[in-house]
Formats: sequence, structure tokens, C-alpha cells
Amino acid sequence: MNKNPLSLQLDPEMFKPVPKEERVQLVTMRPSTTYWQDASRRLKRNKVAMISIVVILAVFAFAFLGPYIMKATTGFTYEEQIREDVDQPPSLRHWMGTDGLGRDLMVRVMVGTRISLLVGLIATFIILIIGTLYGAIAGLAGGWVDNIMMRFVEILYSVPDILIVILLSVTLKDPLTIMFESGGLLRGLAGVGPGLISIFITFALLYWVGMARMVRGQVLQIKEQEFVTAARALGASNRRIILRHLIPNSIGPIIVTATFQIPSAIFVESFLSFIGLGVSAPMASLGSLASDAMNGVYSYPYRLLFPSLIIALIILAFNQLGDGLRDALDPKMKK
Amino acid sequence: MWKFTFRRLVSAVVTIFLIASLTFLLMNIIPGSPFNSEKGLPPQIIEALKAKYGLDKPLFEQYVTYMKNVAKFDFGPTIKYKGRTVNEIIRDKFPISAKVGALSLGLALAIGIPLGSLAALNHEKIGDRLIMLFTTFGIAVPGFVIGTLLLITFGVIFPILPTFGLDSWKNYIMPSIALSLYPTCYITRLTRSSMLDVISQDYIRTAKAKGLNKFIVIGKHALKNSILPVVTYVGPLTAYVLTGGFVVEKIFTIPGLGKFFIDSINARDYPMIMGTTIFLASFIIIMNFVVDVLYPLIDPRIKIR
Repeated sequence: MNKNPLSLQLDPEMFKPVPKEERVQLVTMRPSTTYWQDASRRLKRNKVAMISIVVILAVFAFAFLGPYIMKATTGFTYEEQIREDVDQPPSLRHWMGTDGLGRDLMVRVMVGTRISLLVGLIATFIILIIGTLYGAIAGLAGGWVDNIMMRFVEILYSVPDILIVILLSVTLKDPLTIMFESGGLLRGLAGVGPGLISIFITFALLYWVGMARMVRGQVLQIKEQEFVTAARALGASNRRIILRHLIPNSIGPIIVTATFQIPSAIFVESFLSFIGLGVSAPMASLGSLASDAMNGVYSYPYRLLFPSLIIALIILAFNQLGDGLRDALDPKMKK
Repeated sequence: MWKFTFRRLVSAVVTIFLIASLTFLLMNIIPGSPFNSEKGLPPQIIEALKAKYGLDKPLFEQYVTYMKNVAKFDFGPTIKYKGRTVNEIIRDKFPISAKVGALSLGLALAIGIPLGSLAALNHEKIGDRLIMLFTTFGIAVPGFVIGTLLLITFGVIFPILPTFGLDSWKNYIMPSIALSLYPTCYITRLTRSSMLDVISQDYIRTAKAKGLNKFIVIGKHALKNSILPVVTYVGPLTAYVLTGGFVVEKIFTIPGLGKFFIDSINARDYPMIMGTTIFLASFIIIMNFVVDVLYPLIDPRIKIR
């Protein structure tokens, strides 16, 4: 056949009906990926983030399954004092040694990690709820309502948070203890300890402002878009617009901000426990273990090493995961 | 300009006022009084003590008196250290904490800014990678961990540095390093990302095209604009070194305000806790105010609302 492109001779191949598969390809160029598929693909390509996820899962297993495994295999619990094993260095029997009361340190570090992780998660959950709703309401309302709400946030933002946490922990300790002992409903909380409750209260009071600012910024952008106008035209209430449209559309940055809150909450808790607030004995958190270890740091430095390493590991892993999530969920935020 | 300064000032004063009120309120919802711990005191003496500290008056009257005193920066007598006032302790001990804090702040700026610039100039090269790796770890390690690691390493295993007190300049080395590690890493990252922004701008290309020396381009033209975000961080940084100082002072047994504050927490010395909280909070808020007001002067591109 003549290959001359200028030839008028027609190729009969071109006039055959299109096969079925090709027709599908013409309609959709390629299968569409959803937001989540897209994000998870980006996240999976990020090695550091994947390693962080593995580390976080390992730490969770260490903290939540570890104590049960230890109890089943060795019989040690975090409060059991073994007379004959006081002040042991790390050995095959006690991998991380024992403390001055003969308690196995490994179980205590496991339980401490559990408390620290729980503090991080619960505090972040509180921040998530308050910050998201506050920010969304301020952003959607706009005008003078927004102005007043944001002025309030500005004031809270400039309050030195650590000082207020300390103040609240000191002052709430006694009233909370009394409340736990008397109240029937609140009795379940007594195990948590007043120190931790006051940390949660402080988070609920102060730490949501960052989240609120971020969500407000998102909402200000989103609320001008057509689908919000359409929803409003269809008669959707403010409540519905916030819960069904505004928050789901800013879920990426919300998740990223929340991920960064977890390590900062763990940071604050360990700081407080270290200076003697926070959890009360015989409970342990990573900060209080480090604080206890300070007393014998010259003779038993390893007691300090293990909880400190785990804190650093948790914070590092969550920070890296946060970075990875930011790149995956919100590519525009990438620096 | 004046309107902006005035608004900031009002906001700062309101914040301090709210903190002082909150402190007072919290201290007064605590059941019992600070004298309960001294068992066996006859009720008359407790009454007399209460009268001495003004605790027998109605709550609102106490509040008004208290706020009046706070306005004069008079925090009254302490309970734990008999015969001394909170003001005296703050006057004696704050300079010590401030010295360690200022040293750490200076260290963080002096290391963080050059390190960040260095990373930006070697963007994506080995130097940048190493610096970023270092800061990634530095940010994840809490101050008390690095403090105690230093203590074990240079105080116990290789005893070359003193581990407590503040007798010579050597005593300042470990506390300042422990306190400045986190801000150093933070400032490094801040400087790096803003330096990356700045060096891709047109005026830097112009400066290079003029044939200026690389050091002048970076040191004179790029650095000036890239340290602006660092200036805004000085306020939070002050808060960090002052509150982080509590932990560092505990680890290295430094007799600063932070150590006294923690002791007063454990002893339930309420006037001391209230006084120190309000004092430190005011200090931090005033620092933030100064930075806020100075910022538009440093960076004329910022429009004042």
C-alpha cells in the first residue's frame, strides 16, 4: 500500500467499527481515582512515612499488648513489687532492670507508654472536636460574630500555655480527687487520676485555638464555592452545611493538624509528669518514669534511658507521619 | 501605627488581667487552706494567720485587694519561706533563670540562623540532608531527655563538667545546650525555608548579576529578609526558655526561679505560685507585644491594619 501521507487513498482500517474496550476508553480516559486513593498512593510512596507507621504500630503493640504478654509469660505487673529483685540492672529476667521497689521496669515502661499514647490521642480528640466546630462556626458566620470569636482566640493564643497547665494541675488536683471519691458516676475516672484530667481540661481550654484558626481559614475559602451556595439554595441548614460540606471538604488539613497535636500533647504530659504533676503513683507515664529515674541517675542511668528513648521515638514517628500525611493529603501545603 | 500599637497594648493588658483573675479564681476554689498541713495548730492561731494574710475577708474584697497589689506588682509574703516576700524571691532568683534563658536564646539564634542558611544554600545536597536529619531528631527529643543524657555523659561517665550549682562559667554549658537544642532546630528549619524562598527572588538574581561577591549577596541581601520569620518566633521562644527552664533547673540543680516555682508547687505555697505565674506570664506577654510592635518597623512590607 502507498505510504505517502499526501495520497488521497483511504485506509479501509479507519472505517471499521470501534471495538467495545476502545469505546470505553474514549468515554473515560482513565479510571478516576478518589481523593483517598490518591492520598494513600502518595503516602505509600513516602518511605519515611511508611516506616513511621510501622514504628507507631510497634509502639502501640508494645504498649497495649505488651503488659498482657509480660503477665502471661513472666507474671510481672506494673505495680507488683518483687522483694528479692530490688535495684536489678538489665538482665535476662528483667530486660530493663527493676526499680528501687522491685518493680519490673519493662512492664512499667509499657504501661507508661500506654498512658502517654492515650493522653496524646484523647487530648487530640478533644482539640479536634472543639477546634473544628469553633473554627467552622466562626468562618461560616463571618462578620462581627467571626470578629469576636477570633479576638477571643487571639487572647487565648497569647496565654503562656505551660504556665496555665501547671496552674490548673496544681489547683484541680484536690477538688477532682474529692469529686472522684464522692461521685458515683465519676468514680470510673478515679483510676485516670486528677493529674491527667486536669491536662485534658487544659487542652480543652487552650490548645484548640491552632486548630480553630486553621479550620476557619479553610472554611472562608470553601464557603464561597458554588456547591455551598447550591446546598443553601436547596434549603440546607447551617448545621448541615458545616457537618456535611465544610468539614468533610477540609478533612485533609484537619487530619494533618491533628497528627501534629498528638506528639505535642505527649510532650506536654511528659513535661508535667517530669516536674511532678501529671499521673499519680502507682500509675506510670513515660515522663513520670523519667522523673523517678532522676533520683538515682548516677547509679542507674539505664532507668532514664528507656523511657526517654521511647518518648523521643514516639514524637519522632508522629512528626514524620504528620509530614508524610501533609504531603499526601494536602499537596498544596508542601513546602 | 499608633492605633495598631494601642490595640496590641490593650490586648496585652487584657490578657494579663485575665490571667491574674484566673489565677486568683483557681487558687480560691481549692478546698482547705495552706495552713491545714501544719497539724495541731489551735484554731485561734489559724484565725490569726488567716487575718494576717487577709484570708478572712469576703472573696470579692480579697480579689479587689489582690488585683490592686498585682497592678503594683506586689505579690505579698510567701508561706513556705517565712519572712520573705514573693517579690524578693523573684528579684533574687529571676536573674539566674533569665541568665540561663538568655544564654540559650542567644545560642539558639547564633547556631540556628547560620545552620539554616547553610542548609538552604546546599539545598538537596548532602549538607542540607545532614542538617535536616539533625533537626528532625533535635525537635523530637524533649528538653529533659537531652538534659539528663548530657548529665550522664559529661557528668557521670566522663566527669569533665560540673553537674550542679552555678559557680563558674562551666556550669552554664550543659543547661544552655539542653535548653537551646529544640529552639536551635526550630530556628534552623525556619531560616532554611525562608532562605529558600528569598534566594529564588529577582533581586537576588540582580545582585548576583551585578557580580557581587557571594558572601555579600547572602549576608547582606538574602539574610536580612530571611530572618524575618525568626523575629516573630522570638516571643514564643522566650516562653519556651522560661518554662523549659523549670525542667533544666531541676536536672542541674540550679537555684533559679524555676526550681523555686516547682518547689512551691509541691509545697502548695499559693502566693508564690500565683506571683510567679503572673510574673512569668506578664513577662512573656510583654515580650510578644514588643515583637509584634517592632515587626512592622523591621519589615516595612507588612501592612498595619
